[in-house]
Amino acid sequence: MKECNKLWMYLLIAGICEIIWAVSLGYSEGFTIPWYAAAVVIFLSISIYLLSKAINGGLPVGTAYAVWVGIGSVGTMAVSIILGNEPAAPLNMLFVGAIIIGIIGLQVTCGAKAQD
Amino acid sequence: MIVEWVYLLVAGLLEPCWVIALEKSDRFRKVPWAIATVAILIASLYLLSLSMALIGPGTSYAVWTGIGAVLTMVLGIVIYKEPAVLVRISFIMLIVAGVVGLNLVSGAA
Repeated sequence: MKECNKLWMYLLIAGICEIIWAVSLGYSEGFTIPWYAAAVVIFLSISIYLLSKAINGGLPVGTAYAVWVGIGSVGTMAVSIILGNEPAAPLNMLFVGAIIIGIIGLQVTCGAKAQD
Repeated sequence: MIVEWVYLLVAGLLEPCWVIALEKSDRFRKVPWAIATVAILIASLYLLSLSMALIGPGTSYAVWTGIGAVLTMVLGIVIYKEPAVLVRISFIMLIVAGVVGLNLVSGAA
């Protein structure tokens, strides 16, 4: 169980790194602003590395990829709302809710290979 | 007109490929697989960026991650014998629906 929590922690941090590089990409203006371009490369690398730790630690690739993408999307949407680039529309919140329920559902059932 | 959708489709198909290569690389310790992971990922992102310029970021990203997540789940079940139980598939599809919906909506805004 402890091992499983560690793998989910990798996945969570990988997802947070996704948010940082995705937001940086938006500010890099087609990779022309060096600091933002560097942030994209660095955080994307960390994100992929942590994803590999989660997968090779025993999380199913299907689960890991979906959660990784899900955290990235919810986080990027949250940043957009905070920065005022996107409205907190009911439909947005519905989709955010669906992603969060999906992630929590997979986490509760752990998704470890013990389920086989 | 069609070509940007082909870029997008190929970009989506490359997603599960780099995830499988990543798994095979064993935390980047197996160098050929690690190189394959990075090369496929860059190709996928490049094709995605080409289609984004023509189709729009929201729709492109929605299609790209949708294909990626579903195929990664299917390949995981086929190659690694990951659990094909209804609960797991339902939660993954819930995430996919949310991500696709979110990006389609934000693309329209």
